[in-house]
Order: sequence, then structure tokens, then C-alpha cells
Amino acid sequence: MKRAEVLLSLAAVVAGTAYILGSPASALMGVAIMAYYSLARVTFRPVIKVKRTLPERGIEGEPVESRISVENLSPIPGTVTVSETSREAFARGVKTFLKPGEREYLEQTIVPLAKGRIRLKGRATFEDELGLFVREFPVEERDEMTVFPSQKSIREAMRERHQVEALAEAEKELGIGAETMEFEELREFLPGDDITKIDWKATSRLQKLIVRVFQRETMVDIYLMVNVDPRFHRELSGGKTDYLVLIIAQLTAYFRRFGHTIRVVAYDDNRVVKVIEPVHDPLTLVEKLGLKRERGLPVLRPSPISRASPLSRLVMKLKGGSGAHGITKASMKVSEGSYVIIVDDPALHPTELMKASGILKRRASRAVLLYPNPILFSDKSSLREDDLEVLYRAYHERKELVKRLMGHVKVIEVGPGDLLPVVVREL
Amino acid sequence: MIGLLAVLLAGVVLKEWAFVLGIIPYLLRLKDRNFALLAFYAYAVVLAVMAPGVSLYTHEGFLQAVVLFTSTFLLLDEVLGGVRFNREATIVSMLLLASALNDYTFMVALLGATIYVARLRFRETVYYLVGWLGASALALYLLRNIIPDRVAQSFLIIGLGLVFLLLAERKGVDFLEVGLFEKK
Repeated sequence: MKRAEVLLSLAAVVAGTAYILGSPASALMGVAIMAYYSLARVTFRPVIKVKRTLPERGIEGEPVESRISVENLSPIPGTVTVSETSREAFARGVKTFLKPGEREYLEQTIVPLAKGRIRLKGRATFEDELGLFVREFPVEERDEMTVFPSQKSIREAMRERHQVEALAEAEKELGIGAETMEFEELREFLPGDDITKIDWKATSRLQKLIVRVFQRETMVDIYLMVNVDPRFHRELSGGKTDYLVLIIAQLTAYFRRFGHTIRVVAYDDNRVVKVIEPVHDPLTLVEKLGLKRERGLPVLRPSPISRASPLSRLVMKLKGGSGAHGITKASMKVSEGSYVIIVDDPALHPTELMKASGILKRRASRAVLLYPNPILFSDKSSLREDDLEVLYRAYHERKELVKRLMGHVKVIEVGPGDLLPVVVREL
Repeated sequence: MIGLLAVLLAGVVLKEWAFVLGIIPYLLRLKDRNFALLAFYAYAVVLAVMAPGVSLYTHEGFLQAVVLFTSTFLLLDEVLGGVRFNREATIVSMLLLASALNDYTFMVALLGATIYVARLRFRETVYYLVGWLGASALALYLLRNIIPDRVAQSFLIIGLGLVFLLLAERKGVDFLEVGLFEKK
């Protein structure tokens, strides 16, 4: 209910009754109510100053204390309520009654509900003493707060995080050659293999996990599009390029085992560096690609999704002969109806990646992006608290980017833990 | 306290039992403002219907008009603003009680109490009320021969009262919305 409306309607009812009954005294009664309402409304001139001091950092789900200074600069007394409007945090509204010119300090408990950089937005309202009118005021505050994930949520995330098996995901996504019922061979279990295909008899005999392999319907060409640009191979602590070498060799060995023809297109930012086809031996391929670690800080934060500026197009034209990006040119090299595994970092050139996946789609090719996240490869032993925040923010931004890219190409994020020792030994 | 006393004394002076109903919103106000306001609504409607139609230009009509206007204003202030128990309120209440022996002193005391309460609540804005009372009294005096009819008098008073609303409309405000059961 709105008390002011109740008063106005009462004044109207009483005045109407007075007019109908011809009672001047009742009319004056109605006027008394109108007068009271009007005087209250004219007097309502609130001015308040609300300042909230938030802690810079907090932990998800754990309450933090904020200090609020409220000052009534108006000539009327009233109740000030400070509440939180952001969905990223919960805070119970705090209320205080202030006389004119009075200042008070309040404590408010805020519980961050989201992780990362959260935006808080406080709202202050001033209600008059009579409870008739209200006005909103802004809250002066530093509106951003860094929230770290809680130990509990980290533990839960680790429990839930399934082991990314790059090969299995890539194969599943590409839907490469459905298996027939015709038996082909027995071989040792590799990551990504279906566990229902384990031959338990052979396993117990050889004391190794052995799977049954069935013949595949089609033996399509598989293209590996590998970014060999130095920017992609930049790293401080080492590990990512070694991992890339291994995963490329692993992919080649895996698909060769099934008899697929593998072709590799290596590209950098401006052009297609080399095309290797067909690939027979993983080690030769790795040697030909010549992937090597580049010293330097890797690109952590993703580039925005936007059209290339005329200047950058000009630079690309000068370097590569045309305004198109290397990945775009590489996607043109792929034959129609092929399966494509792109090994790249989407944060380097998301727009071009989307363009390339569009080209591949038009050519009836199916593509997945194998994305070694540089943040997962950073050296954790030398991390400082400030670095952690930078990495966390970059990780969050990358996650957002991947979400957007998912509509264009399936992205498989991999980290150093996604390469199993068994596979390495096999290679 | 002043509002309740004004209403009860008004009932005694005008010999009208309906004023006793003013106790209900007063008592409810000690617990809940919304229920007190709703009780005040009912009280005001009952009183408006029960008040006999008498011309303002008679002693009885004038007394009735002043008493109804002031007691309604004072009771509404306590319903919305809360009940005041302090030294000043006690003094004003005593003065009201003492003035009730005579109709004229009672009217003067009621008007004085109304202006005093309005001054405390609305500060300098009270001059609008004083100005309006003066202007209305003057208008009614000047028109005494033109509007002997009670309906015309009521019409004129309502018209003059609407000036308050026009005055208030100059200021844009948001109405406070609350649940019927107010949270403390």
C-alpha cells in the first residue's frame, strides 16, 4: 500500500461526502487531510550523502564487512536504507534514522556470490518521518571488488573437472568414420578409447589394458592446421611448446593407426608457412614443423572480437601479400569434406578464427580447435598473489571468449595434465 | 497525546459519540502505522457522515467546523508521525483541557495547538497553513451574504482546499510503497 494514496483517497471521499450532505464542517475535515498531505509533500526535500567503503578483495561465499557513512544534509528527519542491487553479491539492507545534519557510520555485511571482478551497486533511499514519500540516492563507492574462489568451490571444481582427453573429444566431435561390427585387431588401450571396448581376456593375459578395434566405415582425410607463429609459442617457464610437439605427434600417430591420411598445414599470422602431405611418421612431421619455444611473456588476455583495422590489414598485406590472416589462408588449403583439427590459441586472433571456421563450414569440412591454454602452463611455483589475480582475470576473459567461439567451432581446452604418461611412453 | 485529547474533548464539546472512535487509530498507532491509518480512514468516513449539516455562519456550525478541522489534523499527525509523550505535549494537552470550559477558548486553543504541531512537524512550511486559514476565513467572511447555502459553503471550502494540492503538486515525489504488515 502507498500511504500517500490512502490519504488522498480519504480526502476525496470525505470531501465528496461533505458536498453531498451539505456539511461545511465535513468539508473542512477533508481539507485538513489535504493540508496535512500537502505540507508533508512540500517539506519533503531530502539531501543525503552516502559513502560505502568496500574491501578490495574477498572470497566467494565468505562475508566481508563494508563501512557506510550516511549524512543527512536536509532539513527533515527520515530513515535512510542502504541496500545492494547487484546480483553478484548479497547484502542485507541497513537502516538508520537520521535527524537533520546528523551523520552516522554503519557496518554492512556483504557476501560475494560470484567470482572474479564483481561490480557492486549500492542504493540508498530516504523515507520521510511520516512514511509517505521516498527518494533514491546514489551511493559513492569503488564499485568493483576482486573475489577469489573459495577453497570449497575450488575443491568442487576439481572434483567435477573431468580429465580432458583431447583425442577422444576431437574424434567424437569430428565424428570420424563410424565403427562397423567387423573386428580388425587388438591393441593397447590409448586415452580416448571407449572403455566398453576393453577386451578383458586379453588384458588379463598380457597384464595390459587391451581394446578391440573394429573396422571403420570411412577413411577421410584429416587436416592438422598448426599455428607456428612465434607469438603462439611464447612462454616463460617452458612446457607449452614441448606439449604441443607431443600432442601433434600423438594426434598423427593416433589417426595414422586407423589408416587416415593426414595432411598438415602450418601457418603464422600472415601466411601459410608450409603444407606437409601426406604425413607418415609423427617424428618426421615434428621435425619438419620445427616448433620451438620463444622466450617472452605469452599473450594472456584475449584480443577483442572486431574487424581488423585498415592499418593492420595494410601491415598484413605487406608481410603476407594479402590482407587475409594466415589462418584464413590455411583454411583455404583444406579439401572439401575433410576433418580439421586446428591447434591454436583463440585469444590471439578470435575474429580470424571465426572467419576460418566459417570457410571450413562452407567447404563442408568439420573442425575442432585444440586450444592449449597458456595460463594452465604457467609456472605455479613462482606465482605471487598479484600474478594470481592477473592470471585469474585473464583466465576468466578467455573462458568468456571460448563461450562465444563455441557457436562457431568446438573448442577443446587442454593443459599439461591432459597428456597422459602412457601415451608419451607409447610415442 | 495532543491528538487524542483534542478528539475526545471535541466529542464532549460537540456532544458527538463518534469522536470516541478516534481512540482506535491512536491505540493501533502504538503497534502499527498501517493499521492505524486504515482505522483513521474508517473514523474519518464515519465522522464525515455523522457530522450534521449546519451553516458556517452560525455559532454551532462554526464551532463544529473548527473542531473537526483541527482535531482531524492533530489526530492524523499522531497516526502518521507517531505519538509524542514529552513535556511540551503535556503542557499543550493541559492547555487544551483547560480551554474546553468555554467554546471560544477551546477553538482558539485548538487552532493554536494545530499550528504548534504543524510548526514542529513542517517547520517554516506551516506559514502556508496559516496563510490559507487566514485567506479562507477572509473569503468566507466576504462571501457571507452570497453563499448562505450549506452546499455552496462546502463547495467553496473544498475548492479552497484544493489550493493545497496544487501547491504540493509543484514538487515531484515518489510515494513510498509498503506492505500492509510493516517490517520493523
